[in-house]
Amino acid sequence: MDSNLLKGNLELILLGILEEGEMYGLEISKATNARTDGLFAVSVGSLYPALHKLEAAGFVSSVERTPPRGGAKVRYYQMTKEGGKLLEAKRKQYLTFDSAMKKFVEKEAGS
Amino acid sequence: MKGDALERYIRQATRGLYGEKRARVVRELRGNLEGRINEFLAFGDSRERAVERALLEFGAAGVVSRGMREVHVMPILNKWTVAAGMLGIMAFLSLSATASGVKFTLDAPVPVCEHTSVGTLKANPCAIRGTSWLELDSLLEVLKSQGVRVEREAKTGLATQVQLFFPGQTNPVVVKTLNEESAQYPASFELTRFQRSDKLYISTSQFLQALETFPLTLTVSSLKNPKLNIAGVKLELGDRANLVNIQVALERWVIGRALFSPAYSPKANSGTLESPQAGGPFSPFRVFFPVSGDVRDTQVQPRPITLKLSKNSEHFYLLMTKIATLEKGKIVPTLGLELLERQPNNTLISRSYLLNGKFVRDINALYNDDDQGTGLLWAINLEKPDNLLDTKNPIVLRSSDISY
Repeated sequence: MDSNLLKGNLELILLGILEEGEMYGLEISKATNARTDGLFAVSVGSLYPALHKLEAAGFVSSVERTPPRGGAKVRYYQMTKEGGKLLEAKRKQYLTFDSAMKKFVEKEAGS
Repeated sequence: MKGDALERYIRQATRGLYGEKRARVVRELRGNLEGRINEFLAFGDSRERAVERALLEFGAAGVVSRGMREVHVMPILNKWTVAAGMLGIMAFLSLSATASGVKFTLDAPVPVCEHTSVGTLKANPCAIRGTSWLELDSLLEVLKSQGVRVEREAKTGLATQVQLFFPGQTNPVVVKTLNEESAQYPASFELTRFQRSDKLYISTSQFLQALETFPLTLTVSSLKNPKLNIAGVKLELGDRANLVNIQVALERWVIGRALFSPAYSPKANSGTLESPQAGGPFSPFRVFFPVSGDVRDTQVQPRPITLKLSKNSEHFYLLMTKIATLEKGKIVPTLGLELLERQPNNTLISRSYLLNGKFVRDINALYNDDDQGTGLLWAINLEKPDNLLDTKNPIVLRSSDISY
């Protein structure tokens, strides 16, 4: 998978995951990898800047607390109402892009 | 010791962060790393192996720290560039902007420059994407309605000079549709002003440059569709359907000031900017960018390089700087823009941005693994001022070439 493709859609991926409910970094990474059958191998390290960016912009909120497994506290992220709007907008944007790209891909494949 | 490896990783991943922000990221990383290490331990790994595997999964510490700095250390830039994508999408969800009254156009009178091939202004003028032009009559009407006295010299054709007397000011701001720059670059006239449907348009850049000749304070609400406050006189540019972005105009303004300053004398590898004039060759014009909702202002202050900062001074400084680049093995002094960030101890740390002489807008592009985020926004070869925008022979810049 081209890392640039992944990077360009990281916000969509993260919000899509957080739509299911609050999670902390490690869980988000696992959920991403699981949902895409390992195609998107998102390192936990690369998730944090993206999560913090979304939080700074008000699209997710976070709270620090001890996870059920115990041990050191982690930061749980959840999508805000504004994040939900962004997710919808990003989805529409992606589908429009995808629809346009398919025309090239299908033409290429058919030729 | 692998335990040390964990601490070293956390230290590296939080490099460049300070105070509570750093503490928060440290706690977050440690919590997640310990969680993953415990999972590997549960599968029977040794502590050493578990730490190794967890760190491998988390990815390079440098990627984390660069990303975190980008979010926490450069929040203003984030709002201009990185978050622009997100906020741009949100824009259509928000309320409509106030009508400005100043007519404008984004439709360039010359072709728009290609991203990687700007071309030479002198021979082949092209407009940098994002450039805007203001319709002069409507601009003057809006200014007049707020008490600005306008004296317009009727000249032939496109050569017009307007004097703007702002309330309480005795010296006017002089807006010329032809200036020294356009005289030197005849083919670029179209970029600074043009006529369309009997209306005269001047570039937003030209207007901002005119304001700069006058020691007043200009506040700008944002780079996109800005609300300008010029000594109490308010102007709004752009509307919902037509986005005016003054980033290019401000960059051109700063670069123009430096380029036409006879006092500027860069020295390769000297590590400092030198000017014989006290306070530098630039007038003490200050531009503030109070990005809405953020208390930290960004200040454009082209000179001097040695800034004495007060405790409460602005957080970011956009600064002209000299760097030395290597071109075919030869050291060439070049000029660029740097973003400097004020540190808690009032020193400045460079956050420069640009790659290989390309006009890089996406700051994210600097933070991939191949490049260490070094460079400047726009390199100018001072030895060839005619080739101001010539990127056919790009100046290649590597982090190893520069020392600050």
